[in-house]
Amino acid sequence: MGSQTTPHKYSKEYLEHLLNADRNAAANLVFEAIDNGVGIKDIYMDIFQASQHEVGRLWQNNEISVAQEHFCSAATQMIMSQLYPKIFNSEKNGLRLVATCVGGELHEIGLRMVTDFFEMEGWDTYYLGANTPIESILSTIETYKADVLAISTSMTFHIEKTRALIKEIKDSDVGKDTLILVGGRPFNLAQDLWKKVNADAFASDAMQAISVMEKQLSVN
Amino acid sequence: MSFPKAVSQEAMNAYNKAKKQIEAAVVERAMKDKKDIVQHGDKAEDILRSGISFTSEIMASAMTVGEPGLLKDQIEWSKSRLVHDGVDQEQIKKRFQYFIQEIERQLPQDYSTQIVPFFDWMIRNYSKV
Repeated sequence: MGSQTTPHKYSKEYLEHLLNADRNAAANLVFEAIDNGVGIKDIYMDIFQASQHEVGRLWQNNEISVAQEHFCSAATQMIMSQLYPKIFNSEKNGLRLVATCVGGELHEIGLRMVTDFFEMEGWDTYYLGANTPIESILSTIETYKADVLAISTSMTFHIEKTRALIKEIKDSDVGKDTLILVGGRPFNLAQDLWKKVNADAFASDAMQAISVMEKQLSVN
Repeated sequence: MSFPKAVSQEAMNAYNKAKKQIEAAVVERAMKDKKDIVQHGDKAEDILRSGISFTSEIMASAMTVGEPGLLKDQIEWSKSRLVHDGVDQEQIKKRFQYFIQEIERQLPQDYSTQIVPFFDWMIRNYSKV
């Protein structure tokens, strides 16, 4: 294993550990990758994201159960949290991001990854996760003077709610100047969908989210 | 493969207001079809209710934004996934037909003429996608 130097070489073995319900082996593999010089962002993109996509595909083809799918997601989130000492030590750039899932959305891991990427880039991030009431989203935007609100929508049937949420935020005094970034599977399926829900920007993954928002805010 | 335009907010509100009754009527129609019941056994009504409700939510999203990509993806998903759940593709098309009949019965014509083309699109394109 010591000869492996690129993250994609770890991704297959990582997924195998998860599917065997061996969370510790999966975690140890990630730590080994870090020791071998693989960057945290590469671990997120090529191990965590790649394995989550594969888990989704396996579930869709009825090759794994819902319980296995949930275990894999929970295990990856647990392993991600063990990396936080390496993530939450970036020099700050003065920008702030609030991140939330649209109401009823239970798939949080993609948004968690996006939020962590912003944190690594020096943003102050406020991750609200799933099922946050609109009042709480607005009060968080106000309290932390958020530059950007990231909204994650994984399930197609939440598009209507996403559009309604964006309308409420843009109609409010507190949120009218906050840039709204959307992401999630439905937006990857339909190129202009983000415009139809009146978002300000869209990103297909965590890496793109950073570049899109930096461009919008003319950072650098 | 022309796709219908997003429906008006008024039509969307009317659909959302009536959708529970529409879904219940679609389940009732499907329950009368022996083919729909036999493949689900004792849990047929629960499975149908949850499947019909899911379909209705997906269709509402597509109607809101008028995006064909969302429905193409659902067709691809249902073709790869529902076959494992023992759901026959012809039954799925039949359920879309039940939706059309109930929408036309329960909603004013001004709204149903905007909404029905989405269900019709699913029937016409199910085999093509």
